[in-house]
Amino acid sequence: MSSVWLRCSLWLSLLLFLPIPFWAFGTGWASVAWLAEISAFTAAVFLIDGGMVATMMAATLVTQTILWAAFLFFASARIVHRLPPSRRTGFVTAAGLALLAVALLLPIYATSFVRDGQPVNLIGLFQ
Amino acid sequence: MNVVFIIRLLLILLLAAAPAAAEPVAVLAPPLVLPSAAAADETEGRCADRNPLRKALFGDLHVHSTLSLDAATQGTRNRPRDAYRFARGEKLGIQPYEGEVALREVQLERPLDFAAVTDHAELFGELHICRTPGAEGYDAIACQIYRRWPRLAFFLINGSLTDGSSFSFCGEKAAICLEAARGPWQETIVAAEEAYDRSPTCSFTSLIAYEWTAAPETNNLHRNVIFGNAQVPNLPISSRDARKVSDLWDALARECDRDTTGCEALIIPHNSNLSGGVMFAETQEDGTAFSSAYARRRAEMEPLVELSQHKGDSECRIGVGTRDEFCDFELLPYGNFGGKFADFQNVAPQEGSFVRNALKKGLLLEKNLGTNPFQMGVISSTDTHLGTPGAVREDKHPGHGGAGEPSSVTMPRGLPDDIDFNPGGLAVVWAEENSRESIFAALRRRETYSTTGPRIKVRLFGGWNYAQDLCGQTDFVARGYAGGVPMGGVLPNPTETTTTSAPRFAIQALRDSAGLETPLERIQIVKGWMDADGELHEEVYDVAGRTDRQATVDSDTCATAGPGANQLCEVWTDPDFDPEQSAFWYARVLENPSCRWQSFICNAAGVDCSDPETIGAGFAPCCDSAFPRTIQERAVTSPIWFVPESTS
Repeated sequence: MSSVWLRCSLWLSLLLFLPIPFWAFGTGWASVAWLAEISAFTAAVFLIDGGMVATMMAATLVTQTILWAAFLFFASARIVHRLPPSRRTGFVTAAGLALLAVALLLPIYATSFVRDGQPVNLIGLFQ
Repeated sequence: MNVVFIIRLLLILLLAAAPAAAEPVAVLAPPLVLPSAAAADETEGRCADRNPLRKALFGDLHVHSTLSLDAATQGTRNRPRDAYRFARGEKLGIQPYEGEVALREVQLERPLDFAAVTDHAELFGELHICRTPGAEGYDAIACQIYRRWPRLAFFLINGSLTDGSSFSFCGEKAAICLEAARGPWQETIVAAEEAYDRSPTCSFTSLIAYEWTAAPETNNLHRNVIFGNAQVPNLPISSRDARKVSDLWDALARECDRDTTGCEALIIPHNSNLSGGVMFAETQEDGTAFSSAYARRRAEMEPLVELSQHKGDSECRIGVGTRDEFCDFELLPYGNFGGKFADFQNVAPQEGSFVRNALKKGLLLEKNLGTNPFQMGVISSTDTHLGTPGAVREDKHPGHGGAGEPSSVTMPRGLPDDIDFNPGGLAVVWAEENSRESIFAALRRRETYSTTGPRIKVRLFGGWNYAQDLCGQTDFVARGYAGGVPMGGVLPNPTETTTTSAPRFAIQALRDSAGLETPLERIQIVKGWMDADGELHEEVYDVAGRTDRQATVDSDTCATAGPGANQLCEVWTDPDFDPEQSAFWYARVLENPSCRWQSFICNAAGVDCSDPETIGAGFAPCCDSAFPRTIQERAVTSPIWFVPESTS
């Protein structure tokens, strides 16, 4: 697998499963993918309906999503770059599976927007 | 999941880019038919236990049900009808739910005498559409957010109220949402009509009402609009229709005209403590100085203010116009709504946020304008967002939702409410009977008072000729009325028959008759006045009871000890009265110290703040020293005013 593919695969895994901190009228921990989803909905309300709070929330959420996505993109590139070529595929596969397993099995996400802020796993987060 | 997510994301972005559709109005909710009783004769005097000397009726004039968006986003399913059932003493289930089964139940020990469901009028239609499959607008992005992430909708949709923006799915001039709002408004009316006891028993009175919910720049200007009878406008006048308070007055004067339709309404502002000083600002909304006409209209439309409720107390605050030590009660650590959720939106507490300052300022405005725009009586209420009017017990606080802790789908972890909030209080009126006419008249003449929960009974009369031994006389009340004015009244100027050089105040306070609460500690008189230079002053007098602070409460067990009174009474003469100075006096009755609501829950959970291992998830606020473990519950009366002849 090419290093570009490996980099993208790792990035995707991190985007989907890694809990990252964010702020939106309170702090929370969620994956960038989930953050992107609510950012998209909020941005849609801002674009369609406008309004001060929608503008503020959309700006806050979209900015955080972009920053985290960019950070994870560069982090993925750096990690893959630092690994010996022979171990890259194995590492990325193992990391992706490990993140998926942890995200599915453990309640590692917590945001007041989902289940009253109680810790949830990946399925709970997207339910 | 990746593919599904990416497709969903693309669809959302496409939707976001699509132009807003303006469709014709869809009739979603045909008007409901009112019960026949609504047309019944409602003359005052039908109640079997009518008392011309008036009796204390306890109620709640600030109640939200699932028709309010913020309540709905927190899982509240109780409707206005359920709220009235609860007020009348029935058991009620509250969220969270497992299927259709409520996992928590609440019930009042004693029913209320009256209540008003005051749902937020602004989003009646939007909420109805978002919850009605097939309704035009049901699939709008905002509605999808409401159904998928209610808490996000709490901020996003509710937030539209801060700038009055409307959702595109509401159509041209929000016509679709306005039409949809008819359903919830009719439901509100019907629920109140059904709950009203029109029999001679007069066991319960319901008042048709709603909340006008403007909060420019997150400064709270919310007001409850209370109607005196079933003659009400076709739709509530919301802050979408009437952006400014004065617009609301105008619209109500137009659409609720007693002379032409029999409609009667009054407005009760609340949470001035969260208004960033705007609620009692020294200028009109456009920044210009108060005009006489503006002052007159305000005084006429807003005879009362809500002093205490779930989101804190608005009487006074130490350092903001007062040094009164007892003002340190249920204060919030922020000065507006925004400050609750984001530090950068917070404003420091302002003088214009507190009722006592407004009462003082009113004296000055009256001198300049001829009318006191802040001649307000007081009540308290809960502002429950669970549909549970009158749930004010500190030892059984289920949380009230609203801006507080949501427990929509899971049982509360730890405390059921935000630590800065409290169970709220009650509105008390002195009325001849438990009927709409009698209660509304009492509200109108400000013969009302506020309690922070306990059903303390307080009488306050002001006059010139009260005998010093009035408290010992069996006809205390009759003499009180005959010789002066009750709370909320304006003291007449002394005449040739006046026997004293200063006004006398007869104050009687009875401890909660059910014995559920703690004894009384003291009665205070709070006086505000304006001197010859136009300077405003205040003084707090201890007039009855004990001031030695011998009564105590152990916050670890909530056991109370020490002396207290079941009844206090005093005829007090103002030692500093100057007949050339405008003044007001109100009574404050303090109970002995008792536990604040979180103490009961923290103690039951075994929380020991010196041992971190005992502090379970959600219990950390138990150990937040910014919030006291004990309080002194209280009753605060409407003032009695005096205006010298030279000023009036």
